[in-house]
Amino acid sequence: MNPFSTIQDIKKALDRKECSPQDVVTFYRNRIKKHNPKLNSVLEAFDDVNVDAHDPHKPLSGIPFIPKDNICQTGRLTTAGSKILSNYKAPYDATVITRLQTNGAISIGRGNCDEFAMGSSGEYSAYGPTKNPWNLECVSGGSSSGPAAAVAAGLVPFALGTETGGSVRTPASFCNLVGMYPTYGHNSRYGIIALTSSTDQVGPFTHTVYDNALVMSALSGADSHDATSLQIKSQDYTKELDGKMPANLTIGVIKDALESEGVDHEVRAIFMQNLDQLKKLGVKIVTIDIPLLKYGIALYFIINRAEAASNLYRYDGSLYGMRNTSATDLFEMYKATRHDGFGAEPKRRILVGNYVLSAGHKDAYYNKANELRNMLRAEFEQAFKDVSLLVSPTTPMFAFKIGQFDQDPVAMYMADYFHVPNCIIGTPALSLQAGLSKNNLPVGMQFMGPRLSEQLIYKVAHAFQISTDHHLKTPHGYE
Amino acid sequence: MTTFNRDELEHIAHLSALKLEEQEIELFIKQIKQVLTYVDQLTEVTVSQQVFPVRNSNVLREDLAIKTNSKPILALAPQADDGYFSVPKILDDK
Repeated sequence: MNPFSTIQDIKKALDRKECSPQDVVTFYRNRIKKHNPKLNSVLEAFDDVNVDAHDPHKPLSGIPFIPKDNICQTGRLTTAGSKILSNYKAPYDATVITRLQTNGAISIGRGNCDEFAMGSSGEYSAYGPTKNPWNLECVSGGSSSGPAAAVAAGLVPFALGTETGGSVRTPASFCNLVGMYPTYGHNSRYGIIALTSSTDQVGPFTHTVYDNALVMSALSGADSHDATSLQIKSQDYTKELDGKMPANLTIGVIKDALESEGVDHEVRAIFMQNLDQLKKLGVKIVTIDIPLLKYGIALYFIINRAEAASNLYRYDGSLYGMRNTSATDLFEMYKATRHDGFGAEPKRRILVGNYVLSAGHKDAYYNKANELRNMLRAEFEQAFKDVSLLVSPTTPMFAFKIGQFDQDPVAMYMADYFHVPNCIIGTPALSLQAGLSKNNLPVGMQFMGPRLSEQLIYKVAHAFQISTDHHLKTPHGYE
Repeated sequence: MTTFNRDELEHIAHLSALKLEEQEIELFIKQIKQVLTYVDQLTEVTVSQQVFPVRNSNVLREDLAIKTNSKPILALAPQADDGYFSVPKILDDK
């Protein structure tokens, strides 16, 4: 088997009985055993998975995957990359896990991630950083670091990440994958360990746009367990993937992508080549200015920290997870447990979050951020009156060295410049492979669309992808 | 430049139910100052709109009691006793 097979390829082989689901699972489990020690992308590979006979009617029958370790799997450890949940075995499945299983997919492990999905690099996991298969000295991108590195190295054909502000698309960009953040509410958040409840969404990592659409189709649909899940029917996004670019399509290129000094010159050069390719496919490109875009990260800092501080208050040692047993009264037990259990990044975010929510500061920070959020949404909605989609580099930089931003955590978050804004307003965006640097590091390009434009995004991205060969490039040493 | 001092950090740490080590305090003051200084750029923008963080409408369902098994939940507790979560004392002995 080719470790970089697409879901489509594996499904064909299974349908033709060239291999069995057990063969596929065994193949990838052996891949994890062989390659994971140098990557630290998989926290646990399951030795005891149930493998049913192949069912050709199920779109993901016999396809192994791993979810990020903040997605609950019954009876399995679900640590969210944190020491405080080091002994937590989820008593139920997240809805996205149930949906994938119903469609025939098989979870074979748990993917490493930044602690409570807090980070852009994958370095903030209590279980050690994930290495980038393209260069082991570099980060894989975060926070869905393990799932991305595992797919990129051919350890699983697809994986699930979660994203609150770039956590799927950054690692997709750094690892040469397709990653999608859907419309807020498209996928159920039930069973996802919460970070920023108003932006959290589950998104798939795949090699191709087609595979991504296939997995996203299986995930979608309303869920009575999540009141913020949209009342939409699940649909098959692959049906319209005919490889043709829609006629008379206008796409807006974000002005900052062309002009901002924060964009690496080689990232910009690669991006410009891809813009030319879009033009060759008949797409009209116009420049669009979103003036509030430059405030996206600051906005996100406030909203994310505020919601994180509230969401993480539940980890106090009383109901589940670890407990510091030396404290003699309840509040001291909370304080000591949280001191022992949280790493530096959750502590920083909790402190900032409670600061911006506290008396005397809430109006200046949190309320203002939410008002700006509406203004940002209005700017995007205005843009989508003139263009069908927006395009930009996914990240303004390539994967950086592990430890590079240790002394300056704020600087690291500039990686999120282009993909935080659409998360804040809950609109979808897909990152796909844009090409490699001279140093053989990948970078992504993203298509952003209005609310519930998943079908159009997939159609355009698929037509674009099959006209290039960026997605066929794989890292050396994993053949 | 944003001011953020030790007193404020200790107050927020208390609100956050977080015990901090002495060596964390200096570092966090510096790093949190960096974050607050960065977000201060938002003061440049004048806002005028109301707050609707999420535009989705309410989803309601029948309020029905569902039987659940508490055993697997209690099994996750650091300490449980006779069907209850057990925690250190809350009230003073005096």
